[in-house]
Amino acid sequence: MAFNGDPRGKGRFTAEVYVFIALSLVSFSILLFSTRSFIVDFRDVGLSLFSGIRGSIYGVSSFVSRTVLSVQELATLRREYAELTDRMIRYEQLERTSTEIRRENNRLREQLGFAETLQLKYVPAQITGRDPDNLFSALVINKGKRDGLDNNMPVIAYQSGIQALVGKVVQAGQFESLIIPVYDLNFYASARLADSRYEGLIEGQGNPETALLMRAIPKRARDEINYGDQIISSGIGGVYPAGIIIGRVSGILYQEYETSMAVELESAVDFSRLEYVFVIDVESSDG
Amino acid sequence: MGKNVIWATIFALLAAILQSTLLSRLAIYHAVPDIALGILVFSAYNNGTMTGQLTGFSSGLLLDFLSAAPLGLNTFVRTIVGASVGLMKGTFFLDTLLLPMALCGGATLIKALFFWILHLLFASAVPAYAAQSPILWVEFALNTLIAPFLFALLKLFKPLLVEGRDG
Repeated sequence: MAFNGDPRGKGRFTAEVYVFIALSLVSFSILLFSTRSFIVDFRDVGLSLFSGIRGSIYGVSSFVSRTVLSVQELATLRREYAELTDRMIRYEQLERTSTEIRRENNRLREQLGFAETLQLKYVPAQITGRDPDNLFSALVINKGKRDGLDNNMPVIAYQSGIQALVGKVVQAGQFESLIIPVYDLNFYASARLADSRYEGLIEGQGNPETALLMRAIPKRARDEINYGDQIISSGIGGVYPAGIIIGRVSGILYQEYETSMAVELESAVDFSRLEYVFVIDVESSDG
Repeated sequence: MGKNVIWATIFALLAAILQSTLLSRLAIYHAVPDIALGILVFSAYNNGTMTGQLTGFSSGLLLDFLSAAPLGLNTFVRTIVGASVGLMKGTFFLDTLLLPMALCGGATLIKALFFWILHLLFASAVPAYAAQSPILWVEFALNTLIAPFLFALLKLFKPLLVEGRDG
């Protein structure tokens, strides 16, 4: 900053300082308000504005990578075909058993007077990008408000034959949306252990390779929790429908001096090979 | 000056979209190079504080739109980074290798420092780089290593990105 007593240089220096203070105050104020969720519409406009560009670049890069990898895909398809044939034989065996179970389930449901299972409306979407900021783990999908998406809609994926929780929509733009995955530091969901039915709160640890945490489980559950137990959404809180698989217990954290216990769980979703997701439109679904 | 700010912002926007799409596939430990930051550093060092802070503000705002970061986070941090780098305009001869690396590495650390300060103020709404996490150091290494190549590329667009002799 060279102004060496030159009045013009000094004036410029002063202007720079004033502008710096003004810009810092404006940006800090925006941050202050946005963390209190006052400026949601601004984000919508911003995201919508640039969503087309990101989609186009994704499209071009996908085309190139698809072409290059087509040979490899053929080999993969052949292997998958063989695996699927084997799986189909197993399913045929399972089908006989499941018919019996279904009959029994129907009888029980009738007796207990349960309402019919909620028919959920799904919006399929493709992951087209990730958060440009390394500290944030949001995923970008190619569906937005135009397709009926809105903030806080749960997102699931089908992988290895199961339907598992991916995360939720945090910002729906017109043509694309941002979703935070279950491993995000800001992710929370109410969950329960599928077998013992104990409830807890799931939170992410910021990294897809790191286990998720389920906290606030009553300590009396200790003897009923085993490695590999399935953890599902509890439906409490209204964001995630009950029964969506979240993961399996991979660690048990029990301390005598704490009032509750926690478990670590492996997400049921392998995020490294996640390409397609389904956004659940809970409100539009028939009850 | 206005023209330089607009062009640097456009370049930073394109870089952010690249980070979000193509580069995210090549991430190392989930970290991609912050090319948008490198463009800001180039613009700020060559043009000075005023252009640096204005470019930081506008490119940060656009980055906030594309990210799940709270609106204003990158705007604030990049305004400060742009102003800080701009203060050093003309202090050192801009060589092809060492100074770009030092500037981009330093800017990454300033960014991480301000994320940490904001994390103290806003708690969970603003995450901080953990010193023991590989993300910070991978990003630092990537930003430092690509800096000479990025600066060499940006020099090709000097008429758009750098002010005339009088600044």
